Amino acid sequence: MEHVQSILQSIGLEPERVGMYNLSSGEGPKFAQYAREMDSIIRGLGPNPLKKAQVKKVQREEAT
Amino acid sequence: MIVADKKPIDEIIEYVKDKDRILVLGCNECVTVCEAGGKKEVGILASALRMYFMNQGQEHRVDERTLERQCDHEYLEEIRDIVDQYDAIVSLACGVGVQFTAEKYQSTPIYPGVNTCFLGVTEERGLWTERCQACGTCILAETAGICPISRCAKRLMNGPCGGSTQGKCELNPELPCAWQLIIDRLQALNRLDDYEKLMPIKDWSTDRAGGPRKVVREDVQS
Repeated sequence: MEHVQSILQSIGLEPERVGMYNLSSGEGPKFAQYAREMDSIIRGLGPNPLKKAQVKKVQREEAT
Repeated sequence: MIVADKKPIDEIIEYVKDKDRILVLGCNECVTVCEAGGKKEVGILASALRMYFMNQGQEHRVDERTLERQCDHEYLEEIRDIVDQYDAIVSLACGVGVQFTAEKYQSTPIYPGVNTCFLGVTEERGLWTERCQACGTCILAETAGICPISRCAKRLMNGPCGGSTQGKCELNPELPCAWQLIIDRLQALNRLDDYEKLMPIKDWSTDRAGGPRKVVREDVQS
């Protein structure tokens, strides 16, 4: 996970955009807690800049 | 095998950031085993480069290809028809493969995507250690199969030195003393008398000190 985070950092994205949690299928509340945590982190960071770039690319292609 | 380690992606980006068309070229041999330059690593690096360029608002073409080997003509020939399509190749092969690719395709810049480290073994997943320095005159028969050239920090022919303490090297308390390993193994093989024999001065002319080396085998040449 640290490796993936370091790659994200190298290419200009926030490493916090990816995370890994270990839990069993019987740990529903914990899963919900992790999901809320991740949701809060991602909302704080804002939309993935690559998606914006992708949209711009499609718009450019459509314009030409 | 030849053991390599990944280069930081920032370093690779620096090499190719001005290149429009890039080929990431992997190798299916040693660097695949040490998880530095096989098909999987090619995919990861190529994706990272694509994401980097996209994040910069730039359009670059990044393609992937993995050859069986980059140290043989026959496999390198497989990219002859496509090599002109690229402004740069990032080779994830060892230094041998990078150089052979560069020799073969002289008009395309080739950049290394890994750091080539040593000849070694996989002790466990994620842990590779050195075993051979390719000195050209193997003495493993005399040293019970343990190489003091690659595993003794001083490359001693008649060890151990005074820095050996409780079987460990003075350089690092986690590093086994190669000569302690040799003595232990000679003892296990009931060959401890061999330890008494002084090793002659080693012929270093076959080592790297004699300049770049070559092996010529007329019996297999066509």
